[in-house]
Amino acid sequence: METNDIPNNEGQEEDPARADRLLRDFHEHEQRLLGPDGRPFEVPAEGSLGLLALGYRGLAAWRSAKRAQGLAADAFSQELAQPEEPGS
Amino acid sequence: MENSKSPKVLLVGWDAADWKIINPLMDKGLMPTLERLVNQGVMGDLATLEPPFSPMLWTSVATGVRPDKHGILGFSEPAAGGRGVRPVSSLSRRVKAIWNILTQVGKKAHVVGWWPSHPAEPIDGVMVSNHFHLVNQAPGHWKLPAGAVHPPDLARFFAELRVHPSELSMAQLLPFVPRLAEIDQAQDSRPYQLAKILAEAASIQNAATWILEHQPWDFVAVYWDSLDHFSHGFIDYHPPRLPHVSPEDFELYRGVVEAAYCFHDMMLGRLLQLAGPQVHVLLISDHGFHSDHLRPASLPDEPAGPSYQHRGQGILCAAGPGIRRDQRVYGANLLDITPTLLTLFGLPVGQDMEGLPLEQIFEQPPAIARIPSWEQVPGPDGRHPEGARENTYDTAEALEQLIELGYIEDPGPDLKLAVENTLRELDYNLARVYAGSGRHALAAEIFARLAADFPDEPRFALRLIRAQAALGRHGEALRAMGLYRQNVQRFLLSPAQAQRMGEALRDAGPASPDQRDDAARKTRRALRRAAQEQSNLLQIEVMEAEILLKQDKAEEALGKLRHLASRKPHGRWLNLRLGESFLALGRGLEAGEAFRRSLHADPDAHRAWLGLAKVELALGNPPQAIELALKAIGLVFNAPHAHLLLGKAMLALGREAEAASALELALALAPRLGLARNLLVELYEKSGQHEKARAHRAHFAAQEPAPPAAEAPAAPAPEPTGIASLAGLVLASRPRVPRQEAIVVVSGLPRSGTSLLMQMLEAGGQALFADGHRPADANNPRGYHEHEAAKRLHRDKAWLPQAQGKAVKVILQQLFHLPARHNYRVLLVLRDLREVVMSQQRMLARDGKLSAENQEVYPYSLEEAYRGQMRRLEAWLPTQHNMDVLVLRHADLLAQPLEQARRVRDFLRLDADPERMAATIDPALHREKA
Repeated sequence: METNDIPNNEGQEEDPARADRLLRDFHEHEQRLLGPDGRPFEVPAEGSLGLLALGYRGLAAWRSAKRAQGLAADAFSQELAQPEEPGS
Repeated sequence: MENSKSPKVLLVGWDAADWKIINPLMDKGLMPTLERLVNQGVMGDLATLEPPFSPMLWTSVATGVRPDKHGILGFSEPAAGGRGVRPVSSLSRRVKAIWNILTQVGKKAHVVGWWPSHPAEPIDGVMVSNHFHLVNQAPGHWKLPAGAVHPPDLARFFAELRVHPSELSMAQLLPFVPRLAEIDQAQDSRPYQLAKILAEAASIQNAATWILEHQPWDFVAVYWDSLDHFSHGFIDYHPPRLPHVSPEDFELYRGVVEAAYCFHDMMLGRLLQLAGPQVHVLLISDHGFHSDHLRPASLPDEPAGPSYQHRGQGILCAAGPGIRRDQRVYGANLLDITPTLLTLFGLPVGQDMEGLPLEQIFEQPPAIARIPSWEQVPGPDGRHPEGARENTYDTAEALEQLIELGYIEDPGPDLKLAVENTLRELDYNLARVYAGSGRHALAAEIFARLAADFPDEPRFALRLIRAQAALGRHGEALRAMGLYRQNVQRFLLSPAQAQRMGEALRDAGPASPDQRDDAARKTRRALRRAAQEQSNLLQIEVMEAEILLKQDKAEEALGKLRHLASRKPHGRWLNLRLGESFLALGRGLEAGEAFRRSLHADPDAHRAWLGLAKVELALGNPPQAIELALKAIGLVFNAPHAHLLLGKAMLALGREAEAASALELALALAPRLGLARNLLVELYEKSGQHEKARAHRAHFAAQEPAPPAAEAPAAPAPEPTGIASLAGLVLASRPRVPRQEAIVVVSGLPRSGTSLLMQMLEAGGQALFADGHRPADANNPRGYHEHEAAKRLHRDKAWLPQAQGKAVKVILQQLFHLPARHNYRVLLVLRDLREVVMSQQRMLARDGKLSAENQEVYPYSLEEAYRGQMRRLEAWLPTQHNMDVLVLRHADLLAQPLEQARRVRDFLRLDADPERMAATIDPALHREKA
């Protein structure tokens, strides 16, 4: 039995425009990765472990590749049985 | 140290990472980043703390103090307002973390995922809390918890950096489970569990990489819980296959743990790339994880039961400017991390921190500054405001009080039960902290309360027994064992019952991980409990044998252990104790066999290697003893007794320089190891290095706390006993040699109550070294309990070995002649000097040795002489490395005999009835009063 009564700093967003700017960059700009040879790296829509290890740039490039192919974020979710999480 | 003006430090935490898994992977080239880091820096074990629960441990890492000081005592805590319990939060931390200290000195610090760091603290940097990455909602409903990110205006953006498992594809999971396609995921949820851990790990990496790329920084701390989660979920499938794992499951999931480590290596590679060169990197884990034959077959049914899979040694790897290269370092523990970080930044270490800077990792000894405490340093530190921080215990107690008074509605039985259970766990964990840091009396108090309140929970009673045994309260421990045996009878199963229940389970079909069949679950639970209690009963029997050993009943202990070994011949602990019993009896060959059996069960049992080394030394084979001691040291460096034995073996071969080095190391690890200091003093004296010998003799003078200063003493009256600073002081915190090796010395000025104390000891079962040569008389109607040999101590010391394990009366003036080669437990009785002098005068008069004329004269010069001797003793006693001292006042012995008897019992670890001891005191015999 858990509660979430912890005080928070919600509503203290000092610069809403900052988040908007960052989100725009993250979502809308085409994210390109360069391979070790300096050439653009072809990002597969199904992603890879290497992309995950790369961090936020890998995530952005992978999501961008999915968008480019018209795929939803959870396009591959049928490959993995999802349990019923709260809210589903 | 290079670059010390503006160092940058990256601290990476991998929960549960273990060299036993990493080393083979590095050998195969599968963890290239870590291998490079190791080659460029130092690696070693990092000893964990007790109990090995991650929120407590990682807070100790970040603060340099144990949980009783930092206040994080478990996984959950009562929520404010009585609305149940909540995961442990940063609000309960009572001391500054390293990021608060760095914020105070103007450093840019960022923290990602640290456990527990929710709600994120308002530091001058980014903090992403340990609730940021947790997947607990379906996609589309997955909100970022309030307070998960500081500064708040980054929260909306950081929410997008999280990865939900529904985003993942087979491409990301196949490296973990190559035959994923063969798994019926409707029946087996393990692939989803794996994906969830992977997604959460990736979220942490995303936050960390963004910060490293976009924020100026001096310090970045990133923590992953994922290796711990992968290991708890999948270590049983790690090769070699365990008997209870089916071949099918083994084949499907055998690669998960290795793949998890490889993935973490890949993430580490990216972090190091972004951090850039000339950065100090520390990679650590809070504990290891059993991955071999020591993996437990089942876990006890108790909260945090999975922690029994944890191994005591985590990992430490450090690299960067000024740090040694390609070296192995020893002796580090979690408490050392914050002091080391402060040293890297050139900041002073708090004297109230319980760890030390890891000097051994540096190429050049670093300059280490100290301040009393960072807690006293004022200024903005990036913690939550005072009002937001709270003490969990206070909150719960206040809540209870308010409910009782009717100010708050009773939250109902379920909520109350949840809070009560949580408080019980916090209490239990606190007691384990105490026990783990040698504060057994405090631990025993809590364990006793828990054992009484929860008689069905074996863990409380078992730990109480251990604490009592550690305190030498053998009678109480044995009684608790008897009670335990009675209590567990109802959980035991006869072989026929167990067989019937096992068959019923088999008939019900194989258990799936999602087993929800209540009846089957209850049956499994009953079977597990019965097996657990059998194992507990065996532990109790081993503990009984240990107590017998401590009571100098080695033969009895041996008989018991041999009987147990006939039932469980391969038990590693059992054989270890068996070996130690044989050793105590001087039966080296049999001891050696038992130690070898222990090593067969666990080749990493360093105590068994040490036992073998002792055997070889006892058998007169120092070269072999050296080899075995080095083996033990290689496994656990932080083992002062292994270095001590190495020193002894070196001494036996006349290799004095190496002996000195080993003994010095033993003392560096355990500065109060009296025997090592003894040997060093003798070695240095013999080789003419008198300065070094003197330094060791003086060591404890600097160690002992100064006597508390009286407030504005206008004109202090002379202390009636002649000693002010020692009165009531117990100099007994030094590690004890076994009881049978120490000599108990009862000392004081003549007529100060030493005979009385000898009587008390005799009533407590303490063997006396007395010859009865001096009969009882009118001065001492109950006898003197002296030995003639003690009177010639100043010229004859050859008799002392006969007094080992016994109590001998030595007058105060002779104390200075006790040789350093033995260990002593000194009971020093102080009496008002005027009473002493008057009593001596009366005694002389009664014996006809004082003229009638002189009987009327008080000898002030004698009192002054005694006062001088007491002053000398006062300066000398604390410098004696081989003496534990309990100071008793004669007046207290008469006024509070029971209380004093208890002090004596505890000091000597007697298994005695204090009332019986106290009954020996007859105030009527106190005839001279000042």
